[in-house]
Formats: sequence, C-alpha cells, structure tokens
Amino acid sequence: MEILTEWYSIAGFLVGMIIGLMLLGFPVAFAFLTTNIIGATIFMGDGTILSSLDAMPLLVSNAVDSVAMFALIPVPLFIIMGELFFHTGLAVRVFDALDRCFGRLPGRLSYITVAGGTIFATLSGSTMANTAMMGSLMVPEMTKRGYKGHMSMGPILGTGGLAMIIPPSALAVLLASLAEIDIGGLLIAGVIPGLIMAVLYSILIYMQVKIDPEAAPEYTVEKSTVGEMIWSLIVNVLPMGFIIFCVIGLIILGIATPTEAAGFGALGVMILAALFRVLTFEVLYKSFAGALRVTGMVLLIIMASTTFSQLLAFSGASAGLIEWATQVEMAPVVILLIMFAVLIVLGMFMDQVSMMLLTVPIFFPLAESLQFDLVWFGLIMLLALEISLTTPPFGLLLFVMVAVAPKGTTLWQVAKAAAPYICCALIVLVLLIIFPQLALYLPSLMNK
Amino acid sequence: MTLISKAYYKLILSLAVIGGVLLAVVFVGIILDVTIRSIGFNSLQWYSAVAEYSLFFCTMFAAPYLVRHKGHVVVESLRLAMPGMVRAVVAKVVYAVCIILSLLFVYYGLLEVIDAIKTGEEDLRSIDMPKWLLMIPFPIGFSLIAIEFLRYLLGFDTYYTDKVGSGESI
Repeated sequence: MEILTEWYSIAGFLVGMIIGLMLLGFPVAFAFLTTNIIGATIFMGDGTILSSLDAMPLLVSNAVDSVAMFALIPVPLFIIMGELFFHTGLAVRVFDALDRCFGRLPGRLSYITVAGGTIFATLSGSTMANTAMMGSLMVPEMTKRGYKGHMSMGPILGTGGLAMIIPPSALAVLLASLAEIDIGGLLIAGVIPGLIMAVLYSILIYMQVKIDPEAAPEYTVEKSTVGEMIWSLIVNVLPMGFIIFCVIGLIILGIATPTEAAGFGALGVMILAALFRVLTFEVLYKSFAGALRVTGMVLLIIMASTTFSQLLAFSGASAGLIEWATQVEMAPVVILLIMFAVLIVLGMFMDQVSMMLLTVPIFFPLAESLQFDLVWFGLIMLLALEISLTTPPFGLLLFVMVAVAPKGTTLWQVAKAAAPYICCALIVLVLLIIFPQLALYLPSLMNK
Repeated sequence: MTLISKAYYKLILSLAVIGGVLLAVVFVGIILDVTIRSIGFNSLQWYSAVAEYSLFFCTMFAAPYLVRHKGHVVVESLRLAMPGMVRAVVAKVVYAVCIILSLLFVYYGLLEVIDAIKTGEEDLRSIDMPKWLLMIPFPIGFSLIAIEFLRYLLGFDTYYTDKVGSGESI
C-alpha cells in the first residue's frame, strides 16, 4: 500500500471505498463497518489481517460510546413528534383551515401547500414524511383541479425540504451532535432562512401563475365568512402555535435545552391530539413503531461510522486536507462552494444521513480552519442536503413524489418541477453568504 | 421448522418492541425530569444515564428486525444497472460479508462481556452500571443480524426491493 502515503490518496481511498461499497448494495452501516476494518488494517496495524483484528475492541467500544450519547436524544423525540403529528391527522386539520382562508386567489392550492408545508416544517422533523404527507394530500386535489405538474409537485418538493432547515429538525440535531456544535443554535439558526425560503416560494408561485394562468386554473370555492375563517384558524392552526412555542420558543428563551424542548414538543402534540379526541392506542403504537424504525436505522449508521472519522484523523487525511486548504491560494468562499457542490453531487445517489457521516469529519475541521462560524456553516450544509434531496437522478424526494403523483408521471417531470425551487434555495445560499446574520441573529439572542 | 422460524421471528419482534418501549421510557423520563425540577425538587439523577443506555439498547434491539424488514438504508441505483446474474452474485457476496462482519462483532463483543464480568468493571455515568450488562445487547444484536443475513444468503428472501430511492430517511 505504498501509494497510500499522501493525504489525498488516503482520503480518496477511504471515501471511495465507502461510496463503492454502498453502490454495490451494502447497507450503509455495513459499508462503513467494512471500510473501518480494512482501514484499520492498513493505517492502524501492520497491514496483515491479524493486525486488523487488534483494532476490533476499539471498534466495539466506539460503537457503544457513539450512540449512548445524551446529545442524540432529541433525534428520536423529534421523530416521535412528527409521527404523532401525521398519525393523529392534526396535519389535515391545518390544511382544511388554510383552505378556508385562501379564497379564490389564483394558484390557491399551491400557496396552501407552501403555507401548510411551512407550518408542518415547524411541527415535524422529517423531510420525507412531510413530502409524502403533502404529496398524498395535495397532488390528487390539484390534479383534479387541472393544475399543471410544476404547480402541484414543485411547491411540495420545495416546502417538503423546509423540514430540514426549520426546527424541529432531526437532521439538524444529528449534524450538530456529530460536529460537536451548539444544537440549539443550529436549530434556531434555520428559522429566518427557512421563512425567507417560504416567501421566495410564494413569489415564485405568483410569477408562475402570472406567466401562465392556465397552469393553475381558477375554480369555484365555497365561500367562508370572516367569522368562519377566524374560527377555523383559532381551532385548527392556533393550537399548533403552542407546539411551535414548546420547541422554538423554549429554546430561544433559554428555558429548555433542545432535548427538553423535543420532549415537550412531542407531549404538546399528544395533548392536542387528546383534546381533539384523536389520540388512540393505535396512533401511539404506529408513531412509536415509525420512530423506532427511523431511529434504529440512523443510530446503527452512526455507530458504524464513528471509527471512520478516527481513521481519517489517524491516517493523516484530515490534517493533510486542512493544511492544503489553509495554504492554497483560494478564497474561503470558493472552498465553501466546492464543499457545497460535493454535497449536491453526493446527494444524487446517497441518503442525507450517510452524506453527513461521510463529510462531517472532513468538512467541519476544514470550516474551522477557514474560521467560518460553525453554526452558520452547519446551516449551509443543511441547505445543501435539502437541495440534494431534489437533484436528479437519485434525489430521494423525487422518488417519494413519483410514488404519490398521478400514474405516468416521470422522474424527469418531477425534477423539472423542482428546478425553480432549487433556484430559490440557491438564492437563500447567496443571501446567507452575504448576510451571515440571517442565520446567526436568533442564536445570538439565546446567548444573551 | 415452521415452529422454530415462528418462534425466532417472535424473538426479533419482541426485541424490537422492547426497543420501542425504551424510546417511550426516554420520552416519559425527560418530561418527568423537567416537571420534577420545575416544581423545585432535585433533577432525576439517573435519567441521563438511562436515556443514553436506552438509545444504545434500542439500536441493537431494533437492528435484526430492521434487517428482516429491509429497514437499513441501501443504495440500489448501481445494482439495478447490473445484469441479472451479476446482481444476484453481488447480492450474495454482500450478504456473506455482512455475516462475517456481524460474527466478528459477536466474537469481540462477547470477549468484552466476559472481560467485564471477570474484572467487575462498571460504566460510570450518573448511575453505575455493570459494563457487561451494557455490552450484552451488542453480541445479541449482531448474532441475530448474522442470522437474518444468513436467511438472505440461503435464498429465503432478498434484502433488495429492486427500486431506486427505496428506504427510509429523515
């Protein structure tokens, strides 16, 4: 293994092996485990199989320590919260209330999707669940009303991804705990950029309807009185504010840690569901079963990948990369954009958790050496992860959408519908680079 | 044979249910902890350790069930581009490697457990737990994972859905 002496060949070898094994069809966790054992043989032992076994006790103890971590507790709790929100049907109530309020506005169903999706994002930490939920709820209605594909699928794909940026976001908690940065800070940092993105989506819909009014034909809507609208909002949307406060408010006010806020968020959904008389044993069972499935899958990958970051450090790949990045004559923003592009490319064929585990041990030390604010950088990374979910050919959200879209919808049509929304996310990226305070203002309030 | 396989499935299902119950314990614990603290009593000292152990236990207990129900995420894009025969062979190789890896972890996990019993070592957190008790789900989980992959290797089922973009994520 004489060729594995330079940092780039070592990093390329380790990262390439994981990607290669994943592409061969290894479950992601096992791709990491295989790479760890082979990597340990080469870089920690004397290159023989027997010496790789010397590293096994280290792998075993790493495995336990990597998931028995208090910082990871908000992950299952946010997932439970989202599962409860969907299984209790509270999500549908939000849509019904918004439906009454939007009157005969051209493109009303697209706006309802953005508004409802943004509210969902503040109540659920799961992008996949958000998109599947909105897709199955809104696409049939929009198709029935004659909406063109880009007016129906586009807003769903755009706002589905907001769950990753706007708290509670299980992925943000995961990113922050892996990168060892302030979890509450990263969660709160996503609020303003997420809302800006929702506004940009609305502007986009307005422009699309202006250019082609036939893309979202008007139809007769049952008229509601102002009183009915207000009552519907008070009954169905306002109570959600209580849950949003439980999560975002308590963290900003410094009353609760992200873990406690996650617990109270889930409790808040349960209380609301009980008040609406939709909390049943079946709902609880389905919610906890769903949360266990996702938590078990994610934590096993984390368990398997922990040694990977140690391998990168031990083999000299991380240090070499940082030395290169600090010496090379390239503006930090260019390096940032390169990292952003790498994430987009990885997202074309890899899921978000795997991407994070693969890149966090490389990107965060690099970002630190370039003196980026790590909470700000974490948010940029989340933005890249969000965009990569909708990039063809293998963005996961595209497939979720194909599954819930009318028969005959192709992946290409879905990707085309998502493209303008990706542009909106890129505008937010530029805004974040020019005005980092958009991300850092709210976290700064927490520290006062 | 059917009886054994039914009993075995009940075992991995029961472990998954225990995993779900542990998630519920984590959830109820955090609510209790904050409530007790906010009414002026001392925080539940044991909670943080119980929650941390629960995360590890539920990961190991859910893992075999997730292998059975294809819940561990895989990338299917390149596989689908392979000719049928190659795809089938690659799948068998993947299963075999996963079995070997799992058995390695069973062996080394057991060594850790035996060592912890001999030395009486304790994991020191907000509660002191015998280390062997903390480690025991590790060999149990991986031995059942190995059995699950053996089922796939022997052709009882396939791990793959043969659809791009399948699998769960957050």
